[in-house]
Amino acid sequence: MLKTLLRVRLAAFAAYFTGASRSQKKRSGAQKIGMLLLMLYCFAAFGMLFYTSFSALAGVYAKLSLGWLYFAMYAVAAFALMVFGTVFTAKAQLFEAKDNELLLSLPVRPRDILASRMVSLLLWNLLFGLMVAVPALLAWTQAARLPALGFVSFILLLPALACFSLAVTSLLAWALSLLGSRVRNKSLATIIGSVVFLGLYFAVIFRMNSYITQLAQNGAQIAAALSGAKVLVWLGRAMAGESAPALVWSLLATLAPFGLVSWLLSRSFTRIVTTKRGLPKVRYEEKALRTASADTALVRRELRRLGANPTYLLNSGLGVLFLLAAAVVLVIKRDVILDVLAQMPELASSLPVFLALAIGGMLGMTLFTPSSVSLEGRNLWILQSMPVSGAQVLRAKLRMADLLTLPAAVIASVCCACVTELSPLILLDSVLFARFANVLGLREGIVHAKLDWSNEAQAVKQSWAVMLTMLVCWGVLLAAGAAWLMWLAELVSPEAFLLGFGAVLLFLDTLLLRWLQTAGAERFSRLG
Amino acid sequence: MLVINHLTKAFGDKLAVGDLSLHIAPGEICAFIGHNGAGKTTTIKACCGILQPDSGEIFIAGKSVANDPIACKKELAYIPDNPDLYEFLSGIQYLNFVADIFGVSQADRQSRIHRYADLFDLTSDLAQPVSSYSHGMKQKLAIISALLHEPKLIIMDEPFVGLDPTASHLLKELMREHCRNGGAIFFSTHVLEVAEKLCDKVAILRKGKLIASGTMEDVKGNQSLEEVFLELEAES
Repeated sequence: MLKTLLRVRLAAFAAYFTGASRSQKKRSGAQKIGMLLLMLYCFAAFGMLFYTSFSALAGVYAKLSLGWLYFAMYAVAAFALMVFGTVFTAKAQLFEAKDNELLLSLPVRPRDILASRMVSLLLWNLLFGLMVAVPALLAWTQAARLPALGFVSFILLLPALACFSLAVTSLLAWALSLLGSRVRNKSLATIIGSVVFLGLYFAVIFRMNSYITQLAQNGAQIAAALSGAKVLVWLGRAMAGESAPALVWSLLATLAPFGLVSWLLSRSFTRIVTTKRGLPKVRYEEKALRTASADTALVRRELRRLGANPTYLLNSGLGVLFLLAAAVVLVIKRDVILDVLAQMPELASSLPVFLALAIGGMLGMTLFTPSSVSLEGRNLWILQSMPVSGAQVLRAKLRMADLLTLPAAVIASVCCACVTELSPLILLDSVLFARFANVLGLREGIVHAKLDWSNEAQAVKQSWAVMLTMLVCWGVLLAAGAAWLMWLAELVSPEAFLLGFGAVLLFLDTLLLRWLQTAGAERFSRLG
Repeated sequence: MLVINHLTKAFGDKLAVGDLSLHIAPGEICAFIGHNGAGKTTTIKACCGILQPDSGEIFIAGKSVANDPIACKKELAYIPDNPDLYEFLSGIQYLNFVADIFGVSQADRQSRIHRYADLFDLTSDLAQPVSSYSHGMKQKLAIISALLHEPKLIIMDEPFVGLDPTASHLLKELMREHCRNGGAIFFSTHVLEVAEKLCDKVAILRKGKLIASGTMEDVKGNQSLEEVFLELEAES
């Protein structure tokens, strides 16, 4: 039975990379290869980020013979990315999967259900780990020689680190799930928690360069300070090829917690997933009901779904927060920016273009529409049996996204007025780009609808519609930026460029909207 | 009220429904029976505009489902076999949403929700999220939502599954009341005793083909509906 469960989980894992879905036609070989190439591109893009940081450290630490510290830092970075990247998936797959009760009713051992899910999560951990491991290894081998023992340790410790991360994420996921069941306003609590966490995360990321410089300059002091952290020293020394016993201790230190957590979870899995910790019942008090038109009711329904689903809200709405935060920073740092621009007049002329593209970049991460179609899931029959057209439903999804993204685009553009006179044109482009991201996302949501999910995270986080929309948005911005830098900056004024870019966006918006109102609406009506 | 003419629907090579014709007049309750996989749900979904037929026509209150689906859907209510409702809404929010979509006035929705929720003993639970409801409670909520806009035609797929005996009895009463008021009901069921006692008409489907249909008396004669059904199944 474990084999069958594993097959199902692995098929779901593989389907993510090929974009396959039970509700859709089988994808062709070319489509699957295309999807895989796209994945590899994303993997490479993230890898490059880590490579840049690690190559800055590798040269310095190799000269100081601090290989162990380098690899200890790699272990910390890989562990952090694995935990951050998989904790919500672990929560959804382990403790909140909709098929948990169904599987428990079958003659399947609970520990097999747990094992099959943990194998799938382990693969996700490994994947995130590889994003750090490959660039870290490359950077080191370019700076110094890695002994055979170090290479073997590096290979062995990657899955061991993934196991350790899985142990930690499983416990975190369980705690989050427990917390979620006890909090009345789960969405708000999750969002506040996540925003605080992300705020800290991005504070670190934005200062990464200075941290890397400090790490490089103060290697000896850091090494002395960390020498007491035994596990890090073992991990570092094993991967630097300095000690075989360190490898054994590292394996023990990473695998023992994994074994312990797996044992604990397998003993209590049934109890955890079947115990309902509901809140006290709220009795209905009859009061006057608010009426609304069908169109307003559809928009309200979209907003309520968004508000009730922290995964959806966080994954789709973070860009809005970034955009508003960036706008505030722009206002606060106005004098600094104006000083820099005064010293670099060539940059000053391009500033409006860069600002418009930067706002677009953040709007390209604010994607409410792509997963909104898949989230209909098993409820699709409700809309399909109601007297509303497919076009009406799609319009509501679009209005929900517009309501959230357009004001943010307007605020950010207005804030640009403190550093450039061209903010009205930035406003035009930003609003048109926000609209572009929303209509494109809805199109991708219909084309790549995945209605057969077993938990909502699959529809939101593991969605091709979201990824493709983001890539196309950024592709458009990159193309526009490249065209400006390479040719247009010398030929046309920023005003003309912004107007031209706006015209292109307006054309694309119109084209996509037309598709949504006709073929898209028809396709939506036939989904399922 | 419901006219199905030569409905045909296939999924790939498999014929789900073949050349099915059926008429249900106002005031009639028609039971739709057949073995599992006979094509009942496919027919029902086609009537509700959820599935597009390969050929044939369906009319609701004289309007074509293919040509004027919105007008048809205004006249009907559909209750599926598995009431997957919006779990992110509370019961009352779901009912209010349905009322908004069908344009039910404030006074009407208030009084109908009050009446039906009280009847089904669901009033105190209406503030709770649908995600906390049992299967039976979801089924009751789906029934209440179907009755909110006073549809002319109610189409139900296995409506009694999950309901407790009191709620089942109530639903039968409401079905009779609906038809007394000039409405029509078309529902699938495997509970032949209920069909026999409740329905004016019956349609029996086997492997996508209608093998018997007409008034209950014409179809069963002096036998029980169960005997007739089993005989027809054996003959086919």
